[in-house]
Amino acid sequence: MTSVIRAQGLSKRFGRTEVLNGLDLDVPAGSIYGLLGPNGVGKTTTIKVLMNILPPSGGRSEVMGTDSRRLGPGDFTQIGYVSENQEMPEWMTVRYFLDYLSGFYPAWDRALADDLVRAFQLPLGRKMKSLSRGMKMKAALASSLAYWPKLIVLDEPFTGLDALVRDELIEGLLARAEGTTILISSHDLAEIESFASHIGYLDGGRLQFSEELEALSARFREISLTFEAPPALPRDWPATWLQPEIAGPVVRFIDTRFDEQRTAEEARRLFPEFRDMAANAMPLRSIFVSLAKANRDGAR
Amino acid sequence: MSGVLLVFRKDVRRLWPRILLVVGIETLGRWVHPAQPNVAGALINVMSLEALAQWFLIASAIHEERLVGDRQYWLTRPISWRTLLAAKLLFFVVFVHLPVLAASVNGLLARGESPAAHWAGLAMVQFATLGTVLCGAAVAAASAGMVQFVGVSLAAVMAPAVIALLLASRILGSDNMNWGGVEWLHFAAENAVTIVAASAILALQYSTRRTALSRLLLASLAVAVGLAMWAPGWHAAFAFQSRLGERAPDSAVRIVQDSPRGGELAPLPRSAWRGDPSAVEVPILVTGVPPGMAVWSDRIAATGVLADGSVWSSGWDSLNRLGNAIMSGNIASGRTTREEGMLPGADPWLYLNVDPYFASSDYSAGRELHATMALTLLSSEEITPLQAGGGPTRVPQGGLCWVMGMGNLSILCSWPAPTPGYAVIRISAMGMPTGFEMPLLSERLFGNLSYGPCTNTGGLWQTVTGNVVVSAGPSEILLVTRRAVAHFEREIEIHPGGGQLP
Repeated sequence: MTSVIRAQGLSKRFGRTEVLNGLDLDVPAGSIYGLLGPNGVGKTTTIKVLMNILPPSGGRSEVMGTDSRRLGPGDFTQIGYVSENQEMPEWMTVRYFLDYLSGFYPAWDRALADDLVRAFQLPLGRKMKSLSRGMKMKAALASSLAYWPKLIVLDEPFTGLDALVRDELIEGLLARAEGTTILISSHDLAEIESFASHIGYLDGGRLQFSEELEALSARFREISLTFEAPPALPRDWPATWLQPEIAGPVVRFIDTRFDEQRTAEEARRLFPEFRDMAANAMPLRSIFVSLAKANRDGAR
Repeated sequence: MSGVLLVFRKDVRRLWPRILLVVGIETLGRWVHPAQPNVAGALINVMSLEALAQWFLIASAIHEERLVGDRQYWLTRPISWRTLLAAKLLFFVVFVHLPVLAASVNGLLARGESPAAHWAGLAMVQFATLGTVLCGAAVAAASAGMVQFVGVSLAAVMAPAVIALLLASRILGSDNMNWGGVEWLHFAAENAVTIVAASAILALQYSTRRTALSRLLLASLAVAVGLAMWAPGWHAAFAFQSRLGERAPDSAVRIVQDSPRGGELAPLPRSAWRGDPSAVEVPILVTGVPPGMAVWSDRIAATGVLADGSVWSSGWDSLNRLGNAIMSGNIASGRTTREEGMLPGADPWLYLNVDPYFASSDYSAGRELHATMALTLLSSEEITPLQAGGGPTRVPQGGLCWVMGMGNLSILCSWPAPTPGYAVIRISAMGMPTGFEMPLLSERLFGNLSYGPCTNTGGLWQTVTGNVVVSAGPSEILLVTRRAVAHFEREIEIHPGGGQLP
């Protein structure tokens, strides 16, 4: 599968603060890629570097085959970018905003724009400054979908929006962006887990992992080993088994590379005396909490 | 519709109230004021706001697509920096340059002047406006909003320029700050540098948005322009100016030392010549000035060589002058003083400020003094009677003059560039010496009158005023004007007869 976005060793420094430190990223064509991570880890910076809004301090990145530092007007006719902290022309009415932008896009689809206005119930005669946050995001999204972009980049688009507006945005986005590559950043997994196909987890200035959501769910399991008597944890505890804990005769941990046969063999090697093993699937939220904790502990 | 027009149309829609304000100020300043300078005193204040108003509009237009920051919606839209910059330049042409041109043309038409006759002046006004526009645009491009625009203007432009001015004024002399009649070339050179540098900063900021670097370059430009006010090159400018004028009439002018009138460097009393004990005056003889014409002394470079071989040179010093001993200056005493810079007349003299070391050295041991004079040939005088208390009087070269008041006369004249090379008011009244001449163009004496197609600050109109107190009503008020016809140089060897210089 070809990559629409590819970054290698990307770094970005603001003065002495290093925000990105050797970031590698691949966003496959046609995927809905969720870039996740806690607040302040550099998701917005990553996107701004990819969009040529900020210059990188090191490394390289390509967007649709173009060095992101050379991304220009021709490329932006095929890219839709919406950010939660984007400054919009507040004095424009929604109608004028859409009319004005339409002149810059050869592929602007007036019928699609009208369809988006209806779907998002945008008040065409009102000025941007008088719109609610949700309406502004809808207007921004409508203006970024009306020309059938090949790549849509959304930076924390749902922050501060209520569930209803968020669902409307997602619905509007998915209905009109079939086959389009979407990169969406969020600090909240719940916002995107329902529709993302790929997940990347950013922390410590680099991507901690990046893979398909299904594969991610499949390789994480909460393992419980039951013993006759309380055991002791062995010294050579596998690095891929996170958060081990002993509760009486039960040892629990999270296996990040779960394979039923391999995990059982490894458990038997470490605990020859265990009586029973249970492997429970984990919700994505729990997976991320585990990873965040593991990263935090590793940093200590 | 092209992207340039899209952005332009959007800016007009957004900024039309500010456009009306600025165009209104430009119209008031350039149209009403030159036509009615006597009733538009209050508008002078409006006129002084013109540059500020233009910068306000320029900054507003640039900030519509702010370059500083990383949150602007247009950054990820298919709008190239060239499109954006071209749209802004189009905006400035339409709402700054064209209104200035229209108001300037209207000002000329209101005075019955043909704009075609003043095309060079109109072009120079546009050139000056371009410098203002691009400089304002460069500052705006390196700032995020109006508050920052003011801050960057003060910190990156005004402060370095003022510091450079202060340093230069301490280190360098005052002569290079004002080039007199060729100051317009000084201004033009500075403006050209400003235009080139501001264009480069604009291109850099629009193409790379490297704000810190752009601000550093702005500060450098401000320092350069500040220092350029003291830039040497007066003589080169004068030589250039002389190529623009007529050449034939000055060819017969000869200036030699008038030995029969003394032949020596006369010691001067401290009060006679600027109170400088190192000043000398040399009697001279002027011949070959065409009938009715006169010669104006712009600057003189003097070089002295002592017997021990040491050389002193004054450079092109504006304080060195040729002049006549005529009645002028202090009305109350009516005493005779030297009219600086005008020849021929009674008893012409060459006044030089010499180096104190040169002046105090042993005169009898032998030394040489050589002077190169930069001169302007003035046309025959044109005399126009003025009416006190009446309406404006039309005067030569498209000017209008007003005489206001009775005992305390206030005289105001206004000309479109090119202005007369010389102008005085000649007043006859009881209690005044006959033929008293009041130098109306005080700028003439202080070297601010332009020989070029525009004023020394790039404007089209030169307004000059003079005041004189007469005990009784004047019987006759005459405006005497002359045009600058040609510019040329002459050299003179001064042969001191002996004695000790003061």
